[in-house]
Amino acid sequence: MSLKPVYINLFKIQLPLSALLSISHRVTGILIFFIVLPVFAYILNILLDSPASFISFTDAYNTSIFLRTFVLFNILIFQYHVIAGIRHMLMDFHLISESLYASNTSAKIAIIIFFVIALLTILGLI
Amino acid sequence: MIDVNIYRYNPETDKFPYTQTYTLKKPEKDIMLLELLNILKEQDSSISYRRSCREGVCGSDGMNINGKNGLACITPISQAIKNNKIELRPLPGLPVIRDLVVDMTEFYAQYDKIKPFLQNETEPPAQERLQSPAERDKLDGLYECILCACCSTSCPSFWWNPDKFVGPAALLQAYRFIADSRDTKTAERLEGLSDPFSVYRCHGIMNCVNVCPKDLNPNHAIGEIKSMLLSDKKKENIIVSDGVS
Repeated sequence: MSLKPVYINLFKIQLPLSALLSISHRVTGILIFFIVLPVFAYILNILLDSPASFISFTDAYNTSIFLRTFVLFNILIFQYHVIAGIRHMLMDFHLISESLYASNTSAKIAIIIFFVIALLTILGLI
Repeated sequence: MIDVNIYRYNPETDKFPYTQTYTLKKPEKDIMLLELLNILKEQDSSISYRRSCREGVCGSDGMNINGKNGLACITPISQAIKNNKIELRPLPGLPVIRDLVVDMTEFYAQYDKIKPFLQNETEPPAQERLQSPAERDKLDGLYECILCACCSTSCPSFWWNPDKFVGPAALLQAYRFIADSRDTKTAERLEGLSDPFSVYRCHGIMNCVNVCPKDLNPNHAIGEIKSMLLSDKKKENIIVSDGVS
């Protein structure tokens, strides 16, 4: 028997905003596990190793725009994951009603909160 | 003139599916999409799709219309046309048998799993098992499902685990019997759904609610099942801790 084709084209299938938020929440979760947490653990290790390594890292951080941007992206991923995650938990506790309207509105609010916090973080760090 | 792009696949002649474009004069009346397909079928009799009641009751003609699942027979073309174009594809995530016809075996297997019938082992009364109006009200928004599979096939969790995740359509039906005051197997039904996949693969992305042609809310039913499972677990823990003390 030949294998039947299965139609799944994510570029053609329409997904509501809440779906995009949920999918990106999972993607950022994977990124946090494999990239953000190891990177921050490594940086913490450098900072706590000795006074000299602390100074050498902060010097590098202050001079390298690349390093600052990299750290910033890691922080933004973490912030996004936390905000989208809180929305998910509120839905699980039935604190946000399970209607399409409430779901899309809360998704919009979560994205606005993320952008505000992201903007403040960018202004504070760069 | 309008362009109708249809997903074509004939296992006997085609190695891969492809999109065929049909151009036709825009009908004067705002007819339903199924009527449009019938007109096209007169031009090209090889186009395959399922249909039966042509009024949104049988749920046979579920398909992906411009990226959103729906029933062709109750979707007017004015609603489906975008830039003078209509894209018709089969329901996503299920194996395609031919053109817009999908193999629904996996979908029905999940429906079968939730035991979609009333279970009551007590002696039946002379006439019928009665319900109060309040008890009957609980079934509104649950029993109306026509099993068109629009919701389950728009759910990414169902695409990933069609064999393990029960899917929104069957979970709505599961809750329909859990919520029924005449059904006495509530505990067993919940037990059957308590594994990590059956219910908990739902992450509330709401696409099921977004596409349902009957305006039902499987996500709400799933939320209720999750809450009942949780309160069941709490009760179990209390009993266990009482036993220890």
